Amino acid sequence: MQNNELPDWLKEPNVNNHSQTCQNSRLISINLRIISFFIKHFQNEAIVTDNKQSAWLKLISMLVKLILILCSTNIKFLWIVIIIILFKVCQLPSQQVSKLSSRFFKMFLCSVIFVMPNFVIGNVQTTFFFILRLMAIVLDVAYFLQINSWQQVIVGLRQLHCPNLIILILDISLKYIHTLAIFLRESLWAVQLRMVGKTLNNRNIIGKVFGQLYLNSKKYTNEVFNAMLLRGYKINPKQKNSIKINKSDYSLVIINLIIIVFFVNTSM
Amino acid sequence: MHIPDNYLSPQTCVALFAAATPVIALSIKKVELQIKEKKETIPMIGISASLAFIIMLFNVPVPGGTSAHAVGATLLALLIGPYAACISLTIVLLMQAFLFGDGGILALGANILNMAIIMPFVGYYCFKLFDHFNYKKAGAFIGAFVGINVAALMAGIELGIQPIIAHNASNQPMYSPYGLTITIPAMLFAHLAVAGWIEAGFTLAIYKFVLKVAPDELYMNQKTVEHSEYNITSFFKKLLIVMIILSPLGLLTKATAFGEWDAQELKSMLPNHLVPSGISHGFSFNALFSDYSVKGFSDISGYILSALTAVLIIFLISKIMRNHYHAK
Repeated sequence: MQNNELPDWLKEPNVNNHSQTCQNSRLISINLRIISFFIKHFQNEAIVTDNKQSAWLKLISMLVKLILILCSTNIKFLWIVIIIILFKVCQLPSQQVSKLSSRFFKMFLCSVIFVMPNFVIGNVQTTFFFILRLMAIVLDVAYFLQINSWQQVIVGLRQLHCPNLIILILDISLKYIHTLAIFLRESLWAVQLRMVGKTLNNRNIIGKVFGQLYLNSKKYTNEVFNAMLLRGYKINPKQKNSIKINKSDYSLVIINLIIIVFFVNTSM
Repeated sequence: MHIPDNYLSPQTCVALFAAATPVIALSIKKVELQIKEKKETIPMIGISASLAFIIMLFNVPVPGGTSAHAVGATLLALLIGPYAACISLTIVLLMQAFLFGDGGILALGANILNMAIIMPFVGYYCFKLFDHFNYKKAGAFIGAFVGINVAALMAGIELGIQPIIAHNASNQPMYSPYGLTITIPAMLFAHLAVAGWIEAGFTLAIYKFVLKVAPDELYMNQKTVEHSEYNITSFFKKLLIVMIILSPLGLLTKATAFGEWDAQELKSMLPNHLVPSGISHGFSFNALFSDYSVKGFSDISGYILSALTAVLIIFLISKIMRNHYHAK
């Protein structure tokens, strides 16, 4: 005779465990989305511009503008600088302009939050000046990032004889961030696939995933680094990137001189 | 013709906003279709908007102590169509109100209705009427003249009805203090005598040039005429540069246009020196580059830099629009 009653383990309410699985799955999905977005952002970094100006000069130009903007207390100077940067932005292709404007708005909105408490202090005029100055800074940085890839920044730093160790750490970090992000994404996919029907403590997931990521990536990056060395990557490369000025650089030099003259003029 | 804040009652502002909004929405839809047919519309919208902005910087003195300015709305309608002209002028008016303090923010609905809707559409359909009888150039001239004057008439009516619809218990006007018997003749005189001729002359000059060298660039000819090799965009860019440099000519007249006085100027003009309460205690907005200048800059350099800033911003907007529609 068959027993038609359900077994005991099926009778147990499993609601909590089911919701826990959903929560864990949601946590993994959210993180997967963030990592995928991050990787896509890195992969879209191919910058197509005909900018033939030297990397070192573009870096110095950005730093000089930033310093002058930060030191300026005159709205006239800021207006001139913003016009000059807008003029350079107008010369970019429309696709670049769209990306730049999106980057500018995101950076500006994140940064302007820190200026807002100044309204509480009560000086509205100064706050508006701060906001205008912040706009000029963010626009300049956004433009610089739009027309220069990270490789060009590294080349510029090398041309300016920055310490090799710093350039090495920056260079390798940028290369490895992308590689590790892909590795992390695959790890998260694997975790998500293995989670079907199981209940896992979500507090331990993060520790386990990142712990595994560290151990595997340590081994992986050692092998990648050895492969880079075999392919000719030099830790202390000979300074082939010496400072040269080409025809396109003269326009940038003149613009920077104009800005410096305006700064001195408006400061007096 | 830019009506400042506090000259129109809130009811008038809301009503005119409500009247302008569906037309803008329709224009956006029409322009999207236009862009699908011809992608070059987008840079032309940018150039047209820049052209209109700079044209509006040129103030001319009018007998009576005020000044007036052309708008270029009919010209834009002939180049890119009335709907695209409406959008271009709306963008320009928004920039003028928020960045340069020219024209009120609450009065934006009125200014958009007058200069971005009535003027280009009236001018365009006037031209079409003459074009039907094969009088294109006369149509361009008369269309521009009629368009700006109809818009001026509308502005005069909007200002003139304020004492009737918005007054306090003792019948004192709360907003624009002048009635219809003053505002309509004042606005019409300035535009019939001076601004209308400048608008018409400028429109005719540019229209004739474009008709001769690049007739397919005109809105009405885009489907019927073969594509010409002349790069009209480059011509307009050069024209913009020249006009930016010449824009300080608009400073030759110091007089403020009729109906665009601030509270202090109005007080000195009124016989009883009593500024309506709506104007003295009304909405106040300090634009970043108020009156097309910044403290410390000379008027001339302020004017040129304002024109340059506006043109650059408009170009950036048109580039973003181009990328958006290309991506679609």
